[in-house]
Amino acid sequence: MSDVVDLKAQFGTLEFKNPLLTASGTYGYAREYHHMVNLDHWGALVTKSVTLHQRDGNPPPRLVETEYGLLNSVGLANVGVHRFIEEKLPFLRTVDTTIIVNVAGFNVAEFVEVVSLLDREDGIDAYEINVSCPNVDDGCIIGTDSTIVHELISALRRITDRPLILKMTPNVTDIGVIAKAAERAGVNGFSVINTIYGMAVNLESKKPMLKRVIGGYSGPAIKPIALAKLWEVRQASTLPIIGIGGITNAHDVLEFLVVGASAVQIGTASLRDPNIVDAILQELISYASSRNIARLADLIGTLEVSENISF
Amino acid sequence: MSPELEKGEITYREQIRDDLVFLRCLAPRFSGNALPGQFVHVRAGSGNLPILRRPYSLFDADGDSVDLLVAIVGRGSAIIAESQVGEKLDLMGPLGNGFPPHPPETPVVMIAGGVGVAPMHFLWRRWQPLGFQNKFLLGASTKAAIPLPKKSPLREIAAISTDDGTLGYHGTVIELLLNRIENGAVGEDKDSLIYACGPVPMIRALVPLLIQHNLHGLISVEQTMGCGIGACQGCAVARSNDKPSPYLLTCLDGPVFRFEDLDLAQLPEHSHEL
Repeated sequence: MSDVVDLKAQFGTLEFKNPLLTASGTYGYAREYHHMVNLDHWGALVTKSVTLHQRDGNPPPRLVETEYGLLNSVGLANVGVHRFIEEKLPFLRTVDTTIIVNVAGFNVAEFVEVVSLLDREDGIDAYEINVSCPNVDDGCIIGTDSTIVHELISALRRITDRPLILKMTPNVTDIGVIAKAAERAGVNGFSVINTIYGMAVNLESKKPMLKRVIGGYSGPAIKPIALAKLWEVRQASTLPIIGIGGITNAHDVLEFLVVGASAVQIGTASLRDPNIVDAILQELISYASSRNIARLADLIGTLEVSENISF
Repeated sequence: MSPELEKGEITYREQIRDDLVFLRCLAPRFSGNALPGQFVHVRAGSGNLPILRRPYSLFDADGDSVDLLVAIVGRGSAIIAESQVGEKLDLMGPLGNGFPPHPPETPVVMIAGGVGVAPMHFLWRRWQPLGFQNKFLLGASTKAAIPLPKKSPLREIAAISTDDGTLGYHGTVIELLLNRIENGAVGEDKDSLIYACGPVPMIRALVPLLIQHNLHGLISVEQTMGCGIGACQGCAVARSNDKPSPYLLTCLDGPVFRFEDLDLAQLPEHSHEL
């Protein structure tokens, strides 16, 4: 998109054409948008979570808009890995960008089975391992336990050479401990963060707004929390990180890069503007051009912190 | 017809009530392909809040414009409703499944409650020139609340009920329907179809009546909607039958459904808007 600004984002062995990725669950399997968006413009497409079996998802209501954010309780509704391979993957192969399949499961064996099925298929560049869904029973259990994370990543590392990106939950006491466990097991990078536990109440009916009471909170309200968690993971590991949480414009993207993300994902904001990738790319180019920044990646991890601050 | 994104200029605006606005908006990329029952997903303002677009069933559409009825029920709808002639609305559409073609030889009774008149009006407008003899029942709380633009011919053609009796039949539109069934104006032909859109309590009152009188029909429902296009799976509604799946998506499978396909008891009473 630009001759003067280098937007490429290196993520371990992966190279994204720019640092803007879709966030799992907010962009379906991307085909939904191919009539209205040039999907090639995304740095990577991250699919909806794929599980071993098809999932119907949670009882409605599943979505509640709040003052500054969005609560969802979708519950990993997806077509399952077999239909994903048959019905969704062929289209994704035709998109000229990096394809990351988000994989979810309820135990190590399920993750292993899904990844081994996907690993036979071409057209997949990496796996994002979702151990952090707040909307299913036990969905967060794996992601909050460093021992299980280690076991899971070790098991997946044995069966695939493709990059493994751990999608991390913020709903933990120390996210750095989980990151270190995953790094020891051979993970290639992190996505930080998944949604935060949240809840909304209807005062009239005295009922929770979501049928399942608690859901996952996203949107502009969570950006400061996401930046803090990104910073904590940055302190714990040198592996590359994808920043996620409340990003709506180029300034948000750049803040995540400065704190240490190599790329970012945009989720909730693309529900409002499916073509947000083009708007933000334009803003990024203007920003970099006006400041004579030749490579966007030069901004990664440039946060200046007083040396006498202890973490 | 694939949905499109289009920034359409508002060419006409009419304040029907303090809390209800009629907007005509240019949308030549998709307006000609829109079907009655389909909706457009409208961005409220150009900023980050509110988070989600707002879905509106089309009140009408022709070769270059779409018509919307925007009831102010929260801050998103207020932003849209306060848009003025000359300003542009960010539209995504047409979305969802519309009503099927008119069934041959079968009269259709259209029932609208409040701003639920929008999809029913579009359907009536499409079918009326074809000479179909359909009935239109419209319910409102009071005469001043009739949710139609000043010049709408439906004001003359529809049988109107008001909750307070200030215009037309004194009672709800469902009571009006029951009245018409009892005096033989509706339903003597057992093939009569009922198409309806309105508040959830209206739909819940309607369905037992349909079952009792062996009538079939379609309803258009409203849900809080995320993407509007099937990607986020946020607008699920419960099915009456668990097979093959316990849920349907309002945006993709609807918003027009056969009433017997939905578990109406689980339909949220109010679509929440901040």
